[in-house]
Amino acid sequence: MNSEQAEKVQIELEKLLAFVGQIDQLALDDVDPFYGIGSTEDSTRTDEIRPSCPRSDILHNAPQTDGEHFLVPPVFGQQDSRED
Amino acid sequence: MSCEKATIIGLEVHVQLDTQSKLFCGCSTRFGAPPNTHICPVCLGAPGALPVLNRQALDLAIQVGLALNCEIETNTKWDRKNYFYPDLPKGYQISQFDRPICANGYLDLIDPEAHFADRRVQIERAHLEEDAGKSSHDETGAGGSSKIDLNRAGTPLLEIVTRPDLRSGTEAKAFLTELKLILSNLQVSDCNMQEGSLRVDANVNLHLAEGDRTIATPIVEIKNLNSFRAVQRAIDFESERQWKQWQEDGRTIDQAAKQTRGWDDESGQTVLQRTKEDSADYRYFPEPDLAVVHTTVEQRETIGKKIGPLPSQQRAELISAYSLSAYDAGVLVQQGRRFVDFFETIARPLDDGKLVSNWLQQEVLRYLKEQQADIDQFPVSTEQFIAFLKLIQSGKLDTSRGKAVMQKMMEQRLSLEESMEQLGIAPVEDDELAAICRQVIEENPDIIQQIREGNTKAVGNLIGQAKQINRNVDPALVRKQILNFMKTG
Amino acid sequence: MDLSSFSAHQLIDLLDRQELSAADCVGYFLARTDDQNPELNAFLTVAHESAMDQARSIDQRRQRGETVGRMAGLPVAVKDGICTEGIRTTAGSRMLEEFVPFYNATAVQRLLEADAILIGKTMMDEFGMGSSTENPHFGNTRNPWDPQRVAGGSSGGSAAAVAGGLAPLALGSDTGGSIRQPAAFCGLTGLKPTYGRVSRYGLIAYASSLEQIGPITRSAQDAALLMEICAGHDPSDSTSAQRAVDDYTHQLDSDIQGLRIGVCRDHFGTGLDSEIGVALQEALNVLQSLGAKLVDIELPHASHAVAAYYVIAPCEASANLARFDGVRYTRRAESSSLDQMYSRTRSEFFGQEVKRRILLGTFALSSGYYDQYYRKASQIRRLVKHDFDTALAEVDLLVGPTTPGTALPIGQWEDDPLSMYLADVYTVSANLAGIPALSIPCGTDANGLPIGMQLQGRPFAESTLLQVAHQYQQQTDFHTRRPD
Repeated sequence: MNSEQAEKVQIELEKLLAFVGQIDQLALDDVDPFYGIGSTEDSTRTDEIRPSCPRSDILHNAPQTDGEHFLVPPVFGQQDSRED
Repeated sequence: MSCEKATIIGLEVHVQLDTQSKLFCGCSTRFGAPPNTHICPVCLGAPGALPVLNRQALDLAIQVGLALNCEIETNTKWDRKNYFYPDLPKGYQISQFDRPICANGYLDLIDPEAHFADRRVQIERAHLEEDAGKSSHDETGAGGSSKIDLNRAGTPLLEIVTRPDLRSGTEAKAFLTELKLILSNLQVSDCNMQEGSLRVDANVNLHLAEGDRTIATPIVEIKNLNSFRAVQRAIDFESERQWKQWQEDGRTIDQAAKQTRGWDDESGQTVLQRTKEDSADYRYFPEPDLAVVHTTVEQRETIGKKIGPLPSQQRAELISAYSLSAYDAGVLVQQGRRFVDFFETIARPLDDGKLVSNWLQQEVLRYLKEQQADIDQFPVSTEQFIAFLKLIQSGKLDTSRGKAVMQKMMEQRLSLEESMEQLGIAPVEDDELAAICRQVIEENPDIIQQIREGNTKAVGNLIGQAKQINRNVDPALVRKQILNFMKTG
Repeated sequence: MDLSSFSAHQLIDLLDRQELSAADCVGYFLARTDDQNPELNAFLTVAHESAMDQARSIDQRRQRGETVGRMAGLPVAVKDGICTEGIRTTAGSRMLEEFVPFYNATAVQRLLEADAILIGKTMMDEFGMGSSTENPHFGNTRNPWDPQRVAGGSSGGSAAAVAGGLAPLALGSDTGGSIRQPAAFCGLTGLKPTYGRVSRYGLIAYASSLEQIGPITRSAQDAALLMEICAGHDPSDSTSAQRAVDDYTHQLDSDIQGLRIGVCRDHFGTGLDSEIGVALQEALNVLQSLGAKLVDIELPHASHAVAAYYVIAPCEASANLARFDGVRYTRRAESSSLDQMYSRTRSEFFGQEVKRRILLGTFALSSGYYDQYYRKASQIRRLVKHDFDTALAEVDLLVGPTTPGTALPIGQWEDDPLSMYLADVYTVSANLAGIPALSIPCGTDANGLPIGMQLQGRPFAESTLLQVAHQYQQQTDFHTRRPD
């Protein structure tokens, strides 16, 4: 993101925060938050092994693998890493 | 500067719970499978996949909580802990934030050898969470790719957090030893530190009392602790390091950020990893994919019944029922619940706890250690062991020959009778012993005379002669019998 | 035969009587899609081969006299945010441009088990974040009623496909109105089921606690069918309800004599297009003439629902979208360090609106702001739910507008996210409360654009909503009208 974009996003976010921030005006101290899931049913499973997926499926969509692992760039970068 | 210095330690222990399948999916938790073969959409964090809780993991966590005297949360809930790492598939970890399954417990530490005072360590909380996968980094320094294996991702962990109640490396080690014993006895975890089923972080700082005010030094979290001994050494090192640091800069907890330091076992030092400023804000919030889990009183009671006696109760029982010393009881209980069962099965009919304890501690433990085996694999049955110790108890088998017999029973897996026969040992009946003693008395009137004149050492000669007649006689019994006959006869 | 205006029920009749083969049926819709999709951009992926293979196999099974499923040979379009095994699933994002799932969403699995035929994946706002299906990566979906206008969103592709006659019915998903609003804009019937009624397994998550998969169809009758196939408990979704699914079709024909309909007069005032207000009043008259009783009700906290929604949804999204990191199944931007992988991948392959919501959610959950935003919004959520509980204790269902206006010209909401968010004013409350809500066409405006009427009901009372909608559709013909 360049600084112009960053500034635009900043302004936008401030507008949106001002809008959603209206809820902070409400006095709701005694209201119990509701998180959308009120199930009292037991939704657990028993401890049984189910077959895993073939590794070829697991790795199929990955951008980079060695056929056994997912590969990711090293934490501190390659020696020839360009400036970001 | 003169002041009282206390090392303040709290521990965070991650225990891998011993379930068949992962915490939120049916993939196997078995260690050592080829990389990325125990994976499904759920533990891959694939788009659209959803977690479903493994009830057994919750039950095991409740068992641990009850064993650690915790309150069990009736309505436990799940939260997302957000951070990025390539081996964290979803970019968040499903954990528990404000309603952990277990809270407010304690574990009492008693050291029979009195290296430290008895101490109650408060357990702040114990919560369930899913493990991450494993990253292996290029060690050559060439900056090659890191490899990600997600087999471990989703394995159930119980994170046990103590209050800062420990005061030394020794205490921390004792706490961990006792905790591990409880967990092993409950069979909730294999507690294998090498395979990562038990991981420990320690939070350490100093409280310095000057007059009536106490100064706290900045808190340091120590990671990379690969053994209980490493925990002890790292804490002792850190305590010294912080003391020196404080003398140098005088910085208190309010003036310096919390640090994370790694323990380097080889150099015996902690090394700075990061300071709090660059640590993450985890942005916890309730996990919308999982419902609140309700646990009833009945469920808790059913689980509570599976716990059995705790190590502290076992020690007390061994001391009172078998008159063992605190030390002996401690050694036996430390070997685990089945070792204690083995002891009790033998000690009950023999009614001599000390004798059984001695044989178990010396011969049996030495053998198990050599073989790297546990008591379930011990080759001598409790019946055989009882028969063996009855011979020892009655004096029909002396201790030194007894050790040879036990050796054969353990190593060649022979029965008691076979072992004795191979060693040419036959128990000497009471009549025969009496006859032998009378014979040597009659044949050695001058030695008898010496004994009567007070040269008690001379009886050794008679014992030697008795052994020439029958090498199986117990020298102690011969001595007793001869002196007895001399008195009466 | 012009199959494009047939309802699913009519097509199933033809297929069952073998007056139409599955291959011909599927062939027809594929050909029509090939012809019209370049203009409408309703489909992101058309599954030509697999659909034809599946159709021929059903025909063979029929010829051999084997039993076939309830939807045998019927083409269905599926929103691209719903995973389909072997068929690319992008959720409208460049991030997942090459992602081919190796698993089906449960709802899709159930369709396939009923022998429905998956003809393609429909366009959407990226990850469902938007109300217009103007997609920065894959272009804009056009409204078949007026190609210069949006089809609505985020399930705009599903709505455009059904309205344009490219598919007889479709699955969408609704997080804050994403089924109902495009259904309203395109003159269709769209149902957001009760939270937990349809499994979310395989639905690429935007805001988990708010969203549901549901039908976009030509009639309440078709919606009932699709619900009977897709709804029901799924052990793979812990939030899916264990209660049995009603026989929706059976209940369609019951009359609505004596049914109590709540009307919130606040929703007919400022902000509502007057033409919509008039159309709704006429619709209420029709319902009254069928024997329903109108009762005024209050929803005192509805005015805060949009703000609460735009806290909760971005918060959940910020976590739900964290998995798109360049490691396992997304694209990855060129990068030589781990940090670069994250920052470049996420900056290159997420669009503007997605980034906006991730930033908003990340901020609202950050240390020190949680109570002010997420907690407060969740408290409002409780109040909104309580409003509905109270109202629905008095009445059997609520009737009101689905949207404040009809379909907007393309580009209208560009760079004006707040206006777009505010247009969700009538729909988000049902998602916050988890109740079922349905939109059906009830008129057209001066431009000939469809107007939607929203029915909201008690938890798991989809049958009531479908029944009222069906009874209304027996009296009116808005649902049978097609774009020219």
